[in-house]
Amino acid sequence: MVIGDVDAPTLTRSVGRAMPARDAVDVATGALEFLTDKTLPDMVHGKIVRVDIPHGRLVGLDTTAARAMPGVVAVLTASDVPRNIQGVVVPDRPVLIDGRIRQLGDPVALVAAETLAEAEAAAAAVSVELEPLPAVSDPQLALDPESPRLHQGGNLLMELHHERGDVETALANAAVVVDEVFHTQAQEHVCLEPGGGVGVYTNGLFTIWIGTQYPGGTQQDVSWALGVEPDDVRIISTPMGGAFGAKVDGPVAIFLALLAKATERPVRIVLTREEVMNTGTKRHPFRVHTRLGLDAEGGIVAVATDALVDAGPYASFSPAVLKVSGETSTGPYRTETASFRGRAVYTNNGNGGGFRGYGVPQVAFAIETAILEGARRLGLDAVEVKRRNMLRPGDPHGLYGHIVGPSFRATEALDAIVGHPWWRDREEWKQQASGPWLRGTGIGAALKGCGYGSGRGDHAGARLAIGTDGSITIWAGPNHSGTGVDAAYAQVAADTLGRPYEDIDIRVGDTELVPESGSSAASRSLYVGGSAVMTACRELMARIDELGLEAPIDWAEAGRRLAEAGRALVEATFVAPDVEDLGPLSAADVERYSPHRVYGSAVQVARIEINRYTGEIAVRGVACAVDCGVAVNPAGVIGQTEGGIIQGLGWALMEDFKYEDGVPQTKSLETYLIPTAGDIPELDTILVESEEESGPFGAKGIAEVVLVPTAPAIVAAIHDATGVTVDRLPASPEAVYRLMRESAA
Amino acid sequence: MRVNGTAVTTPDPARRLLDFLRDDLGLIGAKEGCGMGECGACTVLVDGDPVCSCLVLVGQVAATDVVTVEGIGDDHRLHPVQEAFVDHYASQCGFCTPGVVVSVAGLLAKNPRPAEADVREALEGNLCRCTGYQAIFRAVASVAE
Ligand code: FES
Ligand code: FES
Repeated sequence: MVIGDVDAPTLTRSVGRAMPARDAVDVATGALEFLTDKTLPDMVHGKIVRVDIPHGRLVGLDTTAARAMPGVVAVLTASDVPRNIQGVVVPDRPVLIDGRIRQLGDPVALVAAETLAEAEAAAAAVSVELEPLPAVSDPQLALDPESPRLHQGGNLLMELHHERGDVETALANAAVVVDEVFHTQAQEHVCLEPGGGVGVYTNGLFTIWIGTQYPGGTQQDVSWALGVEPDDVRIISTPMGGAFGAKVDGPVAIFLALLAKATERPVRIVLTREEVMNTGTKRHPFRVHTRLGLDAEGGIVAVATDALVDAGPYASFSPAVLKVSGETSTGPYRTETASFRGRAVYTNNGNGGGFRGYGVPQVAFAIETAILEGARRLGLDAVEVKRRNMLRPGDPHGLYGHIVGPSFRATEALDAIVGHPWWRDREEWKQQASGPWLRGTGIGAALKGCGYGSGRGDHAGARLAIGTDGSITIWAGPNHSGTGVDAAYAQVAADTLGRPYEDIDIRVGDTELVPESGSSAASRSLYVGGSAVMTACRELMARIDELGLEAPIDWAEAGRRLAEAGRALVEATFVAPDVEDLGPLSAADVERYSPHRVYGSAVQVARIEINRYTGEIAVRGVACAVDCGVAVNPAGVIGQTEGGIIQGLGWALMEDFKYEDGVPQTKSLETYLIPTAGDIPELDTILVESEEESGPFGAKGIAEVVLVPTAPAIVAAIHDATGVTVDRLPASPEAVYRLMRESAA
Repeated sequence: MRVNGTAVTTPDPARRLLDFLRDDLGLIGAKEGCGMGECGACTVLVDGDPVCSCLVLVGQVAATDVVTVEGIGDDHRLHPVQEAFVDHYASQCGFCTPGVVVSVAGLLAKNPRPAEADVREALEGNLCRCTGYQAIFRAVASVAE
């Protein structure tokens, strides 16, 4: 269903029509070559030698035996790395370990051999002497001055603080104050393709085929570590088998470059599932202390949030995640008084990094559940409390006070969900529960900014070529990381040029051809990249206009004439606009907090059944109203929404990446469980449209926010069914059963 | 052994079927997502039954008919399941898709009109992290009608 204040597209337009991914046929036939499928003549196989302790020191490393093994072509250690440091945001991670070990699975050596079996055998023959140290596994204890320091500057990676208004006074005057601590767990991305790629070094140039969401960042990583110019490194980064934030950084491209140079042969590394589970990034575990003050009518008078974030051994994107958590800690709600303190802390646990939602799900779970509790204490309906506080376009943002952009439609999304049969008929449905099953229904809401936020110069580029036959080729970014955003780029181009969708050839994911466009992350790909495509197409139209051709345009003639004039190649950049009305924020604040001008939002209703004897939860239905601007490709929006809901469901109910003293306990898909076909509820997506003036044809980015309301909606539904309030995720059967027992006692 | 209708000889019975298909025969449709029977990305049909090719050795299937995603349709036409996957947006990254298509084709060969519960059961061993499965169910339902 689509609701909203947008003109219905006519069928001659591409925008607004559901389009399959451009590689859908090759995917379905199995013909699509993923980058880990790639083989090249004379290729050798790389293997990473890793340590099996979470914290300690590398005191001895002997590669003599490994070098003598059959088929071995190269063995590399830290001294072979020109600049042995990496990290896109904070360079705090050695490429290969030369002393301190901070994570189980840290790499100490690389091996290349003629066959994979030979590489594995040689990797096993590298002899490693380790001195274990006690693991730093509790972020609170990590801050203790007595704790071992994981990095020179100590264990506090970053602290972020902001207060708007006088929070303590507002809380003191509130009718009720909910004062609760919420805990969330680590979540693993589980991209179906574990990752890896192929590297080649010829004539001083590196070509690396590797699935990355941030080809430009990977290029920087490689050029820095290898001590070469970025132009000497070409990253080809699509197709990849899932990303979700897992592939926005990582060391494998550097490993490929090192081995390709050392062997002067093509080299392939394909990670095993266990390697990814041990060393890949995770959704950060949070401990969130929320104090929510409500007046007697349920109006929010203050929100104070204190988040302690387990960043794991290396910074990755933790600082950026923390910023986004701060910005969304007041939820999609109005308040004049709020504070946020966030601390990201180094430990020897899983490496917190980018994961779809980027710090929003953790604080959303906290604020949504606090509202549930506050409403209960006031004898009010929690959904009414949400509605009365819902942020509207033109309102000052709850924490920062900057003005929320005009396309924000959280209220309309909430209305759509309140009108949905699963919410409307909830009491009747509840009465029909039978046997051991209790039934409940709940609503969750969330917002997330589109793009990197203000003060970051968020931009994307596009390069367009018109051929002498009139053909159109556009090199665009951000990359297609499994989302099919390239189809939407083609739709935007088709409608800007007034040509059929089929006429547009879109190429993504190649640093040599696509202008630097940042990462496919931060709900920015279509919003920023689609706008760059649109800008390039408009420039082409302007050049064609100058030719004074008669309508309808003869595209071949236009192509020939532009080629003769040397004007057949168009380059364009789109810079996402910053917040227009900063409110009380200073320019320095903008840099520090990166607040957004454009937000997407989502509201969901979840209906669940819960077994009163076991605590087992079966989710029966989740409907999501998504505030998406104009849905350029509705199939894409629905696909992202459904996939996001199920990742949110997994996080809410079952996914839990566990560590004991820094040692991963759930390092295979046998122990780390994600939703399967048997766990899937009915899903319903409602597109709540509006025209975002800065987005292409009015579009916003939504692929993250759709994941966020699922856990709060399920927690609200559990509360409706049983009266208990879940304050720790996942809501496993054991945990829910325990809560039910406690509340009965 | 026959693979997609063609007789093949297998030099090494101790080789994983998945490696034999991918590395020796160049049939890259079957993917490795876990190597331990948990994800289904490597699913192929062995005498019509879906099997995780990462778990079987070539020697165990020496006298069988193996069909991979490449052999589901024919040279000129997509299998109806493949067509439905395109038409119903049933893939995103697409890494799970070959295995899912094979499992569904195997189901439909035995049960041309499966109920949704049958589809769910048939796909219990195929993980998909992108789609949330509902688009896959819709695609299968469209073929089963
Ligand atoms: S690779 Fe065979 S089941 Fe995962
Ligand atoms: S489409 Fe990506 S795992 Fe299924």
